[in-house]
Amino acid sequence: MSEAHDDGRVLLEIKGLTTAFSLAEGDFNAVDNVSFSVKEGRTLSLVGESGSGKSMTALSVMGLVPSPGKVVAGEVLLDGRNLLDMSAREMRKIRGAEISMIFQQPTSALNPTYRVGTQIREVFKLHRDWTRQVETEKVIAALRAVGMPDPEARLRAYPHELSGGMAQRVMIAMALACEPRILIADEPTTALDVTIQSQILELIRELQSSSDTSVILITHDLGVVAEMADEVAVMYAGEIVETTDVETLFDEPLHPYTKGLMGSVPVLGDPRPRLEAIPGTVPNLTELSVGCRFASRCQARIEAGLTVCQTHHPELVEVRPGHAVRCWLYSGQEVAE
Amino acid sequence: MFAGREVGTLRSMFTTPSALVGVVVLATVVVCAIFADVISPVDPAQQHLLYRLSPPGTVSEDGVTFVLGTDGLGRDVLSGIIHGSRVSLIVAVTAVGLGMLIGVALGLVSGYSGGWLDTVIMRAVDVTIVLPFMLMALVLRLALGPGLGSIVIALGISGWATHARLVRGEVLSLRNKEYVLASVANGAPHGFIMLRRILPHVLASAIVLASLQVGVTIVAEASLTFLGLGVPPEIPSWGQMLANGRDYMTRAWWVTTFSGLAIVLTVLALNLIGDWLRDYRDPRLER
Repeated sequence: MSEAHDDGRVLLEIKGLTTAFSLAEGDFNAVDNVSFSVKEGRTLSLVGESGSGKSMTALSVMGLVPSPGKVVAGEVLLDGRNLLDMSAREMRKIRGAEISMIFQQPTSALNPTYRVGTQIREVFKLHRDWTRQVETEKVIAALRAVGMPDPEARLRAYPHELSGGMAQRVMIAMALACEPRILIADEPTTALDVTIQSQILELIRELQSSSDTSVILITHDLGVVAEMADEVAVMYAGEIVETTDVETLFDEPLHPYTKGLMGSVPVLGDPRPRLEAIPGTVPNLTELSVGCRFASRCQARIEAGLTVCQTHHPELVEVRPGHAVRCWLYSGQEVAE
Repeated sequence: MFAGREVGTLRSMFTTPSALVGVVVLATVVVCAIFADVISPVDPAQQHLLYRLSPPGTVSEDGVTFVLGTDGLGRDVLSGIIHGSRVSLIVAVTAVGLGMLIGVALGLVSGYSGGWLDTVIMRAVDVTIVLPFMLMALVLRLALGPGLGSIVIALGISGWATHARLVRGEVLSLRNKEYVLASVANGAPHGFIMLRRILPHVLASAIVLASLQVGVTIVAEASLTFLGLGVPPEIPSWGQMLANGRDYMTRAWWVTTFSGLAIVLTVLALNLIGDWLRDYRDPRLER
């Protein structure tokens, strides 16, 4: 985490990804011109409120955008190959084998009618040409790797017999079974209690360092970000508003929204009597203003007396190497000093 | 674990009196159908012309007891009912099986794929359901010509639509379950997801529906036969006996009464079992 600036090889690069939904209420982009890259063996965290487009970004990368959504622009480059150009068949070979995903609710992401072992075996059936016996050995090995006690017996358990933490371990075992290069973890600990949460995060980190897997961690929990991430992209209303390495983000957050998020986190020993909340709510994506999407909730804009925020949409501008912000406070002549 | 669940099933069955009654009655009918040749006292086709329309309990000179009497041609009613259970069960079960096969397959595809295919299949369901079941079976049977096979097909095709609609509804809710999404995220192809991930969940309710449909289909087969469009007259069947007995109803009540009773009891048993199955499957109902 500390050596955030060194150069790893870029494994996954996302350029201008835009996912549009067209509903009766209107058309909107759930993911709007999102670009970021994930380096080998490192963790990128997508942070934002509910509805900010984090999960939809992950689903777009996996090619799993639910209907009527559609990826309408951009590139998802895995080793230079654009996943968005791939056929359904090619994409199936990628999913589960090169990029895999774990979900928020481990107990509902496991099929209640099948034993745990059968479900992990499914991944091998789809991606590996192994005999049944080898499969069984690998399933046991996968369960052992995620710290499942007595894996030979747990193999035969049904999902309802597992606790939430154990179920999430099974999900991780399943996701990492084929040693993917990228693991997308969509709020992997939100449904778990705090002690289990830290165990699961610790497990992901251990497995990541032993296998050099890259992780895209989706969360709204800044504590999880601080603990896990190397790089962070903060999302708001479908677009990235700030991206930098984790230390800079916590030391020197620039975007008023990021600052607001930081202010709303309780800190032990903090003298503040109340937590600061960001006023207002995330705007309705079907009725976005032409200006900055955060403008209506932004205190800093009023303090700085900026009017451009309501009339012009800011671009994501690199204010220093590796730190980009989408805010008029920091771009062009409007830089406030 | 699975064995444990089956023991639970049995226990629940024995503690639900109506289910037990249903199972006992149905088991009796099934045993009659399988061992008809052994059980029935005389050949159901044999005509005892001297004993035409004998009331129940009549004993003939050569020592044959007509427990449930004889019909207009002197045929033993009890033997006819025992042999008739074969046709009723075979026709109903295969017809419902056929309907279930078509309905589940189309419902699965319809719910899973959505879009225009869903629209086409569901409009076909609407058209099928709008037509009265009997009318549809009647028309199909006339179009297909005589024979047991065409009755099965006619009844089966008439019954597919309810299965398709039921299954589609369930698939729609299952399709968006996280474990289905997780399966897609693992790289599973559509066929695999439909057959291995969704079908097992849908099958239970399809079986419940089928158990209730078998009853309806037995009545439908008997009705077709009663109208002379069903089972050929040379095969003993309940519908045929009802039709034959109709002419003598005022003189010999036993012919129609007992064959009608056979239909009523069998259908009742199937409904009791179907109800119990549905309740047993529904975790919201306390058992």
